[in-house]
Amino acid sequence: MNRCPRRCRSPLGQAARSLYQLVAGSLSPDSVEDEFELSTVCHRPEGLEQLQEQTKFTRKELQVLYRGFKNECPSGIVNEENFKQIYSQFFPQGDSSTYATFLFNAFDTNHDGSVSFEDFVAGLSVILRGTIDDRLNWAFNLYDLNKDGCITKEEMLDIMKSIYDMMGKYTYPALREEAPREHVETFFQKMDRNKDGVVTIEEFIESCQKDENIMRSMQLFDNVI
Amino acid sequence: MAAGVAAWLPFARAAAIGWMPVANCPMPLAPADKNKRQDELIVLNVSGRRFQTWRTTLERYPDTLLGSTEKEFFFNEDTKEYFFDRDPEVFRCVLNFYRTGKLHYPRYECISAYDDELAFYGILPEIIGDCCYEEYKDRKRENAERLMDDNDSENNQESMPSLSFRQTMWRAFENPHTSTLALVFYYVTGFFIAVSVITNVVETVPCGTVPGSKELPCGERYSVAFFCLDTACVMIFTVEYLLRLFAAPSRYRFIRSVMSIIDVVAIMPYYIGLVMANNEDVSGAFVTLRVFRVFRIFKFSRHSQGLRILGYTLKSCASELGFLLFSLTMAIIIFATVMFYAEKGSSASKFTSIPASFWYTIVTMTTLGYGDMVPKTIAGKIFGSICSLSGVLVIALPVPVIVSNFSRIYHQNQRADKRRAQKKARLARIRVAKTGSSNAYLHSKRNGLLNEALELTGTPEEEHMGKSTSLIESQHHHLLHCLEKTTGLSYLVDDPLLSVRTSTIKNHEFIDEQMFEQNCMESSMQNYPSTRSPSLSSHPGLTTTCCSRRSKKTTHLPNSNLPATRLRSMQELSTIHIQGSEQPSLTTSRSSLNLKADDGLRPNCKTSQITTAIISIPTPPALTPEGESRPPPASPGPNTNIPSIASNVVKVSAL
Repeated sequence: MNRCPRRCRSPLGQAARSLYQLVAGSLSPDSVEDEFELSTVCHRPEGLEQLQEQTKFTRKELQVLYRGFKNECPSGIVNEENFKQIYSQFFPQGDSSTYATFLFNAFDTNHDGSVSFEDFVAGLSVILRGTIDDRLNWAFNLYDLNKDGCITKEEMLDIMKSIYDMMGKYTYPALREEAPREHVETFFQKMDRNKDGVVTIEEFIESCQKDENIMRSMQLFDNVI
Repeated sequence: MAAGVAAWLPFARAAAIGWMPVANCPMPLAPADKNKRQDELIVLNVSGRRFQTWRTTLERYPDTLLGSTEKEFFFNEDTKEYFFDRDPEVFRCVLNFYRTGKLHYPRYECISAYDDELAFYGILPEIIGDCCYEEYKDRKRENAERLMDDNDSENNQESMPSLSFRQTMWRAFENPHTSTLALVFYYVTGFFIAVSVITNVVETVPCGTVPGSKELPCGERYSVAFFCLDTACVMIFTVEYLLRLFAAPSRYRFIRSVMSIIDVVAIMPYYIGLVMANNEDVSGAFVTLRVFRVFRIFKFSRHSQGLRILGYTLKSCASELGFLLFSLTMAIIIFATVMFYAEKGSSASKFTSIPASFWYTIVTMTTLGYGDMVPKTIAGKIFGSICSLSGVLVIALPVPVIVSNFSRIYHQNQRADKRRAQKKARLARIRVAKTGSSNAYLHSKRNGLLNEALELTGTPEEEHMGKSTSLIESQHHHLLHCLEKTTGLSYLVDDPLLSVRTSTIKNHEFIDEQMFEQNCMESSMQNYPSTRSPSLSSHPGLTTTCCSRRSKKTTHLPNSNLPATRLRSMQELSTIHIQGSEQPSLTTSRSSLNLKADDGLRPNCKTSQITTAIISIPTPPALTPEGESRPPPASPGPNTNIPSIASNVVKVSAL
């Protein structure tokens, strides 16, 4: 059977093989193992020094981060499913999968469908160690789902709904249908200077810098790690 | 939250940046990390094996021992590590739980040991991962059954003091070996069941001809005799059923139980027959009813454990049996159809219809092959052979399942019986060990007193007396001693199996002679009824009575218990008599001596063999410190007469 040319690997060949096995009663091992593909991909990050240069974390912080990362993702990369699953562990009541998807897209800077440790640490570096402007930039990037440089009302609505989804069904006061939409309206009123229905990066940063609350909350991230 | 994910908490918090710009109100303050230490390695020393892990790894589960501050109790300052005096093998699994978030159950580990370790570390067993959870649960259930079995048999053996008449009766019915009456009842009913079944069988045997008529079965020839026998059996069964009904704790449940239904079915035909008498119309039905009399044979299942196991097996294999039946039916129908159409052509074929072919198929598939129906065409023969081959297969498949079920239940029962049998011996050995330790207490107490006495007298050469006890033992003994002192009671250890009786007698101060005598008599009287070992009371010439020194006769008091020392010293006087006889019964009694008695006592001691070291001390007069008056000779010095030659008496006296 091994010398069978390629065209022989047709259903006919397989049927003949199974008939042969039936008649001869061969005790060949399970053919399941033949179909085993090497599905694990191992990705190793660049050296510690390089990461130290690229990010603003200290060596020890990088070590701690990597240990946590590797524990959850031994293969060295996170795909979207994994990402969503990890993130959902922090929000047991609600449905955080949509927001996790947005986050994933924000972390996955090269859009290859997976977040490696470098991407992970780069994103965290901006959020946790970057300047306020960097952080605002990052947030804008998160909201801009199609990465076209401006946030539309639909994009914002998606984001808002995903945030509200994370709360789950059992809230007080109960979630109303229009709450996300109203919230989007408020947001646009605050952010959209020229009232053209989209928020550009400059409008966003300008409006945020004028808002006390947002500025203060941005500083919360200084002590996360 | 799983362990590894805890490491991602910083990420989750960072991801909250997406909420900030859209929030309308200010955010709450973040919790300050006061003890912001750098992550450090912790060394966990478990019985010598060192494990190391990061502190944050352990802190993933703050409600366990290792994750909380509780581990600080185990911190060893000198070596700067956490020391746990536990099993390092199980600790491996526990630590892996912190590392990976999954708790595994190693198969080689004993289930109760594992449970104990988990309880120590504060981990719920429910967290065990799916890969090992089934095994864990199985083992746990097995263990629980075993313990329940032991408890059950224990409970059965304990004497339950206050049972109502009804409850005693029920117990007698359920466990015939609890009383002789129950046993008699058990055998009588068994006998009558056998008689009844044999009568039913013999009734139908042709009994020889009466001249002038055709051959009759025995039932009709000796109808009166058989009727009487039947009546007697039914009466016994009825009485038994009514008694059980009366005694049952829950009558409703009893009525619904299988055995009671069998009982009813067994005796009903008789009564129905009585009622219906010789009505011709229903005599056919009456004959059918007599068939039910054979159900009496099922009453034997109360008498036979094997039958019960078989019944239980069949019940538990109901699904396999059902499958067997179903697959057989399918096969029968298929093959019957095929055979019918195959044999349709042949002449004078017996396969007249498909249902008629059912008989052939069944007979062939079960490899019976009566031969009353055989295929004649070639096609019929081919299909017939296929039918018989497949029959073997279809029947052989579910049978091993049923067999293995039966085997498992049977062996379980065997194990239960074996455990019950071993239990008695095991408990006896455990009791010996325990009394050994209580003996040790008394020995050491005596030794302690000896030492104190020696210190007082200053006798140098006998200072190192008795066997040395460990620190823990001595502290334990001191504790017991304190308890005795506190309560002013005596410490009585009584083991019916070993008949070891010891008592320590409280130091009574300022007791004068009369009271002393009275106390003496009282306590001996008291102790007499408390004996529970029949061997002692029947053993002739046992230990003394108090105050019998004058009489010098032996009584049957099993124990002489003399209270009250005459000394005002803090020591207790004790004499330990350890009497061993052929039966493994040791009598130890302790009586207090006064000084003079000690002198006079030794000559009385007819020690044949010495099993324990005799420590006899010369009794220095200085031991009565405050010049307490010597008790007069008439005082109740203990007199130990041990005339029994076969006994080994060791007398140890201490002052």
